[in-house]
Amino acid sequence: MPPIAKRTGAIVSAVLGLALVVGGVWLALRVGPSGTLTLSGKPTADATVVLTPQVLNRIDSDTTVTVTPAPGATVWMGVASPSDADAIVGTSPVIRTVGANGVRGTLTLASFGSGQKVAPLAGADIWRATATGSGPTVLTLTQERAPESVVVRTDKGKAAQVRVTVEHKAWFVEAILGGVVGLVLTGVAAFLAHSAWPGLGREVLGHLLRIAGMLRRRAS
Amino acid sequence: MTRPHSRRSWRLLLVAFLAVATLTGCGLPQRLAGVSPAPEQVATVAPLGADHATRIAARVLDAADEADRKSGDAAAAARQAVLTGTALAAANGRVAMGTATPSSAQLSRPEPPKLLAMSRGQAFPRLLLATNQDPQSRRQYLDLLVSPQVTAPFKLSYRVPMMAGASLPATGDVGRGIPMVAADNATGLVLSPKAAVEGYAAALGTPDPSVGEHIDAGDSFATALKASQSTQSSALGSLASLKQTHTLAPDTLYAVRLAGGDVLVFAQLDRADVITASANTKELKVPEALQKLTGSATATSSMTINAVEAVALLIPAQGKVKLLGATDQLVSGSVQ
Repeated sequence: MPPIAKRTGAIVSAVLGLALVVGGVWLALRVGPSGTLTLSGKPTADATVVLTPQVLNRIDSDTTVTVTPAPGATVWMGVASPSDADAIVGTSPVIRTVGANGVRGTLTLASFGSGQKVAPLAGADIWRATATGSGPTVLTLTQERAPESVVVRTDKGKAAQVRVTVEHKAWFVEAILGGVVGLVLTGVAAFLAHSAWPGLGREVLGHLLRIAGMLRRRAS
Repeated sequence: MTRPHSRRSWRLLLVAFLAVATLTGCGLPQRLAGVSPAPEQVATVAPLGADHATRIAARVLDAADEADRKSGDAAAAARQAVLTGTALAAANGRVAMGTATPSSAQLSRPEPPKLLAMSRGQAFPRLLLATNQDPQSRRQYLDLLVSPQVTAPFKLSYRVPMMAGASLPATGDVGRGIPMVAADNATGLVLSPKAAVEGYAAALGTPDPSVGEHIDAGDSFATALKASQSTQSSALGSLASLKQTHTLAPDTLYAVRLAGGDVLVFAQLDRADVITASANTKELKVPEALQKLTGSATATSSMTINAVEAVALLIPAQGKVKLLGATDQLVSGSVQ
């Protein structure tokens, strides 16, 4: 194997290996052993909120929507097919989820429509499930009837917080596996580097020892 | 010649490359994480789950029963909240006639309904077709619930007792839904829904009924009507004449195509019985039972009694249009 190939392989393996180790550890810490990812957002206006399938139906796992109304307010939530949810809010003021940032754990919300809020929603026969509460109110989607949208309405002011939680146990296992594969790749990188630069290990060690000596002398 | 040490290095490099490719290849991390695009909504199935629709049907029919038992202003509001179209007109007619009772057969629903079908697709109006049986009379009812728009809940629009011996062809899988058929669409049918209803209505009239070649007017409902017409005409004799017309009421027709291709139609016929006094008759006496509708005990020249008839017809691909079920209710009257 030409030395250039070994060196290239060593560098690529080292970069990818370290990336996998760092990414795996970050993801394991982020989702925890239960594999839970939480995305949240705060509506900036007094409008009906529509959580779309682009946020709710991307993972084949139970997805929980928790909405916390402002103090003293009551929240109502309903699950419907996306077309029914769109039809019932029509062109009234609506805040929709248009995306999510898994790294930052945020929902991307955008405002649409104008005029008055749509008439009371609860009386329609399009809701597959509903929930009402004056505190954090929860609806769980099982993905059996995906795609689905969740429509959120508060009686006073805007909702204080909208939170979407997805529990996918495989994420933690995959994070650990990713870290292990990263470690293996890092080992491969070290082996190739040793093979391509026979004296590299001693050289690096020597440099490190010299730096340590300098630091010790400065300290004394 | 390649040295064994170099070959091992190549293999190691290949393994490392494959591992990396496996983990970072096109879209693979997303798939490993279980993330996929949200599924597309399927618009060619029933809009609601079968359980959900069954709960709606049970709720509406329970509320209709309850409304039937109430009286006064509360009853009117309750009827308005749960009934629509023909069912509402008939219920109001029963109140006007003073025949609305807790045991009214029109809206009593002693057994939970069985959901037969839903209209297919996401558009409105949406229909729920249910059935249930009166355990006492063993009579089977067909119920049609309608939601006209997204913000409006389902209401009972038709409740039709089935004719003895009539049977509804298979409606197919509830989850797939059944397509609605436009009133003038005769594709694969002997008649379009509108033509079938109008043809059946024409066959019921008197004194000049017109029975089309594709209409079967030999059912018990039509026979009873004809017998009643004959009795009335005989009773009136030369004092007056009876003319009875049946007309398809506008915007009351709902048609759905069943699994086998036949079409089930619900429609309201407005029946008008006009009794016209002959030249030698000084006045007509309004029967006591109808005076609540006419507001008068006598008529000088003519008396009109209006009724709504809810009919359920089956239109086949071949053969004749048949009545599956029907009911009628006097609703108003006038004298001149």
